[in-house]
Amino acid sequence: MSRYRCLIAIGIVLVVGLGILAYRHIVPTITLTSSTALYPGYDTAENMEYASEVVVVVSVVGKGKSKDVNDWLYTFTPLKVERVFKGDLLPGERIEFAERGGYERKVTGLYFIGREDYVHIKQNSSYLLFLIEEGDTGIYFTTGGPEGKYVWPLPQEATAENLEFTDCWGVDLDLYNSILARYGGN
Amino acid sequence: MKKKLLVILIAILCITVYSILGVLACTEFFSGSWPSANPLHVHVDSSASAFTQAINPFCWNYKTSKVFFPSVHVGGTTCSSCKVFIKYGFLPYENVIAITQNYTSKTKIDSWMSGSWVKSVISINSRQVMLSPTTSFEFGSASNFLRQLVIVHELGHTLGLKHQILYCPESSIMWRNPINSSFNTPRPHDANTLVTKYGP
Repeated sequence: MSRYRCLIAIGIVLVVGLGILAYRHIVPTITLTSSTALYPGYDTAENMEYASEVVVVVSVVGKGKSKDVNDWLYTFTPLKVERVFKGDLLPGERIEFAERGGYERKVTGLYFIGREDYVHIKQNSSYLLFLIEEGDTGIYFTTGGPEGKYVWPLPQEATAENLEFTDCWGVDLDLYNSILARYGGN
Repeated sequence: MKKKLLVILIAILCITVYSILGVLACTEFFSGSWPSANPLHVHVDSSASAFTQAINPFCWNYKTSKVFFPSVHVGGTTCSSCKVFIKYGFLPYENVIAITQNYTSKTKIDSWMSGSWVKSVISINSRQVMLSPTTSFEFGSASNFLRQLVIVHELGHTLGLKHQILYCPESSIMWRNPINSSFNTPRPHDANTLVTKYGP
């Protein structure tokens, strides 16, 4: 009888343990890396546009894939070009967008490694992006770090939530107003 | 029999609560810190050895007794006591001047904002960054003043300082866009932040 109870207890612990492990593999644990970067700061839309190879409105057309590149975790997401303000891309063209951070699966579960100063692009969304291409790879990344990505259509009210910025980064209102004036009416 | 069942139920409850708290804790932002930031020896990788003149962690000393950079070791020799590592190279997919990552363990993934740091890695990008149609920044060809500015700023991150928020009235080396600054050492505001974080 005692042995039977012991087996039941072990069974319960195992089931609970496996349940927790399964939960951790299904629901990602969000962690923010203690990485922080010094980006070039642009005070006007014109300066940021000049520094960019392309300025485009895109829609997110697929799920991002996270990959380790030289010990840095990046997420590569397929985008469809909707409008072109600068550069030789064409509407309808597909590009790949690289963002630092992403998902990494370990034995202990699924982890989302985020960044202190950045919110990753979301599925079924559109963005105005200031981009630079990595060589001729067709892979693009933002010109000014977090300030190279804006929710499209551009919100009239510049809040961290509206613009998908993080609170700790803050929104450069002068730059945003400049971007709104340059692209908001288009 | 009832007692045993109760013990098992309590154990299950404890495991569940612990697990939920663990998940929740990971969703919060916590600024980590060094168990001891005195001393913090710096190792400069051979890739960055050409810039040793600009690597001046000592300007962070004497702000608080809890933070002290005693030495900078340059080159390929192993430095077992070093906790801060500086390297220079091409960062893929990054239009960035430099990135600092603090680690809670030797593996890269566990570099969480919370916890106790065991090492810090400063990666300086060799990529040229356009600032405006007429100005660009490239660490490799920048002035010693600007190089030191970048390194001192990144060492501020190593110590756990975040970027200064926008429109802060006080000047700070931790301003997120410091390239146009007229100073390249910590300001009184930075010293005060350090004292708040680590104590006097």
